[in-house]
Amino acid sequence: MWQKLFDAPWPDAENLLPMPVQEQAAEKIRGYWRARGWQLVLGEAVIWIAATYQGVPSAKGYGLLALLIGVAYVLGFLRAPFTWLMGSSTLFLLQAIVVEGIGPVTALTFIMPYTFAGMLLSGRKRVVVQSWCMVGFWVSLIYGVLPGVPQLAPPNHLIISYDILLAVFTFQTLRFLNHLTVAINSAYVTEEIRGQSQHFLARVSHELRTPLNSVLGFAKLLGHRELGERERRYVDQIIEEGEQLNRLVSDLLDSSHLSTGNMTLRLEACDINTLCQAVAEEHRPALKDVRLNTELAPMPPSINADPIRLRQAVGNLVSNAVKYTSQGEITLRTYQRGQLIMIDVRDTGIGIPATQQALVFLPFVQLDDRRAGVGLGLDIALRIVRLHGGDIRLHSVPNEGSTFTIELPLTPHP
Amino acid sequence: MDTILYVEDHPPARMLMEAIFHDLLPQTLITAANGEEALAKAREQRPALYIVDLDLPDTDGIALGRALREVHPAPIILVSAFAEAITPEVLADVAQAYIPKPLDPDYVAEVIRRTLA
Repeated sequence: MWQKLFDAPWPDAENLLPMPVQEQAAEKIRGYWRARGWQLVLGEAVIWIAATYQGVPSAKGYGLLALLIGVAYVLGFLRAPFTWLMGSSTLFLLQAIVVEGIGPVTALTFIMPYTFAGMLLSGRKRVVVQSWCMVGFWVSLIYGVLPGVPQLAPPNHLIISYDILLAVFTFQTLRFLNHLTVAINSAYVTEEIRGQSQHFLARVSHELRTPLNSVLGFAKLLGHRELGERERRYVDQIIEEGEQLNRLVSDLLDSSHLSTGNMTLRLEACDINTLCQAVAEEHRPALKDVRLNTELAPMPPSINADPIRLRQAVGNLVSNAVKYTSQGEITLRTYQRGQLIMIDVRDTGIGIPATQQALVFLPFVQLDDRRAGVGLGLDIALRIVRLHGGDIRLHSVPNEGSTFTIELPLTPHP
Repeated sequence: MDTILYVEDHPPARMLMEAIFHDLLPQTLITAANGEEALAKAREQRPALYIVDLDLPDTDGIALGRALREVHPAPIILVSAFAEAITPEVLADVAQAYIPKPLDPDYVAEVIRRTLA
């Protein structure tokens, strides 16, 4: 058994992020820079033509060089934002000083945003980069039209403005792309981990049931024999705990099958009130200080559902209510609202704070881990109800109680 | 008295079934640890009922069930720790009944009585 257990594939790092995904991401990024390259080629070509038309030789030179950078991006020689920005700004600086004859300090003020952007983008402060670029854009635009300031030739401040706008746009796209890649990767990885761990879970569950077979089977046979009072208590305890463990294994498997979409419903005509009555009868014997009431409204005779699974879902909600209610009452109520069948499970238990209400349906989440179980009941209930095309709503006030409402579409059995 | 053949590779599970028969059922239980042994014993002893575990080392319970029926026809009860693996269609095809593991002795006795009746 143990050998079998250890043979089960363990989710390891190698399996989590298969190379194809990384390659896909890399290809996306290459494609992105190729697209930026084309953008630069087209943008700079426009400036170059405008400069030629207006007879500004320096802009023409700059535009031509920028055009070459764009081609380099398209061909895949350049692909990082840092080189992109530093390349552009260095070019601009050179042409402003050498060709235009502007003093280095003045030229620097024009390319400041560029330089900063390039430097910062190699780090992680993208918001700072964006702010800098926006500031740079407006400064250069205003600076370009202010009287009495050593001016660049008219189109040049437009060049800067254009390039800075392009840079801002680039950052934003880059940021979006980065988010997208991370999202795609993590979704893929999550699915992979999930697939692996579900397989693992199925193996472990099987291996847990095998020894349970002996524990429960022999204990029950022992229970059939003549036993002293003390022995009987011991045996009953073994059986009770064994059954508890068996239920846990079943829950783990159900949760696993539900989350991988491997559970199929066996739909048949299902009478909701009979089902709720059965759930109530099942839970009543275990209750001491809490009353379990049913308020069952007249219903259509049956809906199209899987009675075993639906009973499990309602049963899980009731078990949950029982677990968190020490006094007062639990009410199982059915009613019809339009085309929906509603099943309320209302308790006078400890309630759930608003901030934690979204968490309770997650697997393995328990708000109070002193209670029995591992926190799969609500997850299983929600998934079963959703598989039926319905949903579960939660209304809860701390220290007053909770109401879980199952909504099921009223689909008659064909 | 009827003979019943239980095919199960896990020794403690075989021991439990033997105990269930000893304590609760009048029939004679013979066991086999794999498909090959099961087919040989079915040929020799012509059991009145097969109880077959789904998960066997050399075959699976469904294929073995079909093979056993060829050798000597008798009703089949499938047993498995993977309740989820058995669909009603599979069950209807090869077996008369299905018992999930962990085995409940009373339920096992009841199903065997019902199947033999």
